[in-house]
Amino acid sequence: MEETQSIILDVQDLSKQYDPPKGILAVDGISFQIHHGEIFSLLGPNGAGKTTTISILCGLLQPTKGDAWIFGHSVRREPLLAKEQVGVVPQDIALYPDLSARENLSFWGKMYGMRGPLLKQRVDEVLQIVGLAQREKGRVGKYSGGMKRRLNIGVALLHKPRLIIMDEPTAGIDPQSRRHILDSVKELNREGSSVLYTTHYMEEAQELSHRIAIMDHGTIVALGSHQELVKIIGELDRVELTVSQSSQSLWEAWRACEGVANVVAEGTLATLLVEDSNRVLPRLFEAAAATGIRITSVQIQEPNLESVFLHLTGRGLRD
Amino acid sequence: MKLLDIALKDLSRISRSPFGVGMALVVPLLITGLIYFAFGGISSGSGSLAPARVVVADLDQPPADALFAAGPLLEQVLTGTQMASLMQVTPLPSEGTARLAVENKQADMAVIIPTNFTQVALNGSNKASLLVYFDPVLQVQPKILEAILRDTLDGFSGTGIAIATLLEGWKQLGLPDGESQIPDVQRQYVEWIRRAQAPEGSAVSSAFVLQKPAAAQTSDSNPLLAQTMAGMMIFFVFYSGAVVAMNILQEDEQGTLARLFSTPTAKGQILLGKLVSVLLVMVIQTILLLLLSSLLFGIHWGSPLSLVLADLGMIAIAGGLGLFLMSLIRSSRQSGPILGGVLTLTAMLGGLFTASIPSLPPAFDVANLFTPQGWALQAWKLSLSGAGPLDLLVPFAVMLILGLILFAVGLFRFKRRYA
Repeated sequence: MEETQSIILDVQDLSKQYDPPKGILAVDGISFQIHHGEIFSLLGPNGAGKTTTISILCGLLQPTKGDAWIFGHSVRREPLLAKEQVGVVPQDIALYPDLSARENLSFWGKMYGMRGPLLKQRVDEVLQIVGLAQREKGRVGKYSGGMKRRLNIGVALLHKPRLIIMDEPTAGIDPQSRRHILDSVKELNREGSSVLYTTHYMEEAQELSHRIAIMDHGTIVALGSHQELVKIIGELDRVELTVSQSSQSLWEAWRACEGVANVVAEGTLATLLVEDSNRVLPRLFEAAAATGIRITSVQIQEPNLESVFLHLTGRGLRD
Repeated sequence: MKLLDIALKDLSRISRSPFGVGMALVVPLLITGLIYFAFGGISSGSGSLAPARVVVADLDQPPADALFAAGPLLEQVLTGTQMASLMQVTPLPSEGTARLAVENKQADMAVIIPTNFTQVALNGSNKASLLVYFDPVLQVQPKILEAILRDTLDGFSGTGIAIATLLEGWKQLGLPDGESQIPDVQRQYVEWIRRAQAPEGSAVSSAFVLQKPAAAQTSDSNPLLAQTMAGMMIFFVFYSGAVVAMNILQEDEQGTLARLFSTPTAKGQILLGKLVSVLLVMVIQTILLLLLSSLLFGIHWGSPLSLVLADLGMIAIAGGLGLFLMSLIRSSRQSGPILGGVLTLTAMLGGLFTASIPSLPPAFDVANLFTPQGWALQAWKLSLSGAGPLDLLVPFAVMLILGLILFAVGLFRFKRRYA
């Protein structure tokens, strides 16, 4: 009962097919819940269906099947009530470049029904939060990329939403701005906001999330905390090997080796999941020598989300 | 309320766009201003052109027994007070100096009166070539001068005809010595010409009076300039309608439209807010253009109610067309052919660029009405001519209904696209 009350987002059997009946099935019957105070990440490569899922939750797309409830409001039947509870940070910067930061925030605040002194107060607060109080009158078009990103997030915070949806907010930005955004997400969560975060960066999902849903081809292939997900692959080690030249016959030879669970190769770099790296590595060297190829570097890593994705899909996150 | 917030935000953005302000206000005024200056004060109160500089080389050598000299008489016609507003005449001693004055741009036209001018005028037995030498750049003034000269030469021919008729009649009556009366006829004719050149109020006056319509008499402006301005205004208002409607596509591309749709604001309200901004831009644009053109060019646009009907009708149809055209394309990059092609073509067919040409075939006026711009032009022409609101009801109703239909289709298409 307690758990049911704490659910703020409930997604049930959600599907989206573009141009049915023959179009792409971008989201295929996914279900998950987000609890109050949780940072929940959708992790997956480009095209996995993350943005489509977010677009349905924001009311930008109608699902083909299933539904989602935000604080009990169906996104299908009560879209305006559902939207009132949510702050959305889109993947790309969605601001008016010819308006100032204050004008942008005031306008978006009005779109969430805020007026008068309350609006002014929240605009002042958000300008402080995103560190743009000193530059509030400058036109957004003249801002640096990082400043725009911060303001883009600020717009979603104006009406103090209980759920913030962030769609790949760090895509294509410099490490410093990325760090700032990740810290902001943690800070927002400490202040009580729940966050739905999509990313294809394994490190971000690992650092931020209480729970992670790994998506691929429109479905959720795994869901749980970082620790729970890593347990899926058990005691497998992740080994990265660089070779002198790419060779299909070598990859096949390695796949045939005892103790090798998976091999994914990209150029001269091969990533393998193996049962016991100390025992398997000599076999890998032998197989390489047999094909006349030299191994130039070896890295053995702790199991992580990348390994999980590799294990579950047979592909890397960046494929 | 959110609808107005969206409209005001769009207005604020447009007002900061140099392109938007330029196309909405500066360019139409600039083009009309250029026409104004090109025609050298065509809209002044008298409606006259700037006086042309005319030099006259009178080489006429009248016979010793002639009762009058036609050359000086022609010169007197050209220098008469009635011609002062049309030309400033300077006599020169020879054909060469007169031609040189034109070539050196010291004069616009030269009139060379030949040596046998009086002799021909008296008996009409030979031909005299009156030569007008003029700057080829000039279009209007040479035609005016030609008309004046032809008129005067017709008068001289009239003398010859009068004399021939007199002699004939004299002969038929069997009266002797008819030719002795010729000098008397010539004297009377010369007196008549001289009196004709006298200022107003003399015994000789025009047989007809030029009069404007009563409503148009209140306007100080030239109707051609007013219609040119109306054409420019209509063209740019339609252009603004399409450009502002294009704002929907630009917001889509910038991602702000999707963000708007993710707020608790109904899609219909968002699209309507953007449409209100389209209408507000056109209302502001037309008010400013009407006021500025009144102040700068003295254009009287008609009675307030007629003006309001013409303006509202134009805004309705321009807004509807703009929204409809923009709903046909997928991105703002495709808008070039729409703005540059469709709107320009329909503007041409609608007669916007030929609004000030007075003698176009009537079929052209009918063809105009196959375009939205043509109806707008007709409404403004009516208002400018002093027509009352009742006269404007038909074009107003056509523009309103057509505008609403285009509006509805455009809105439907946009709503379906973002459903």
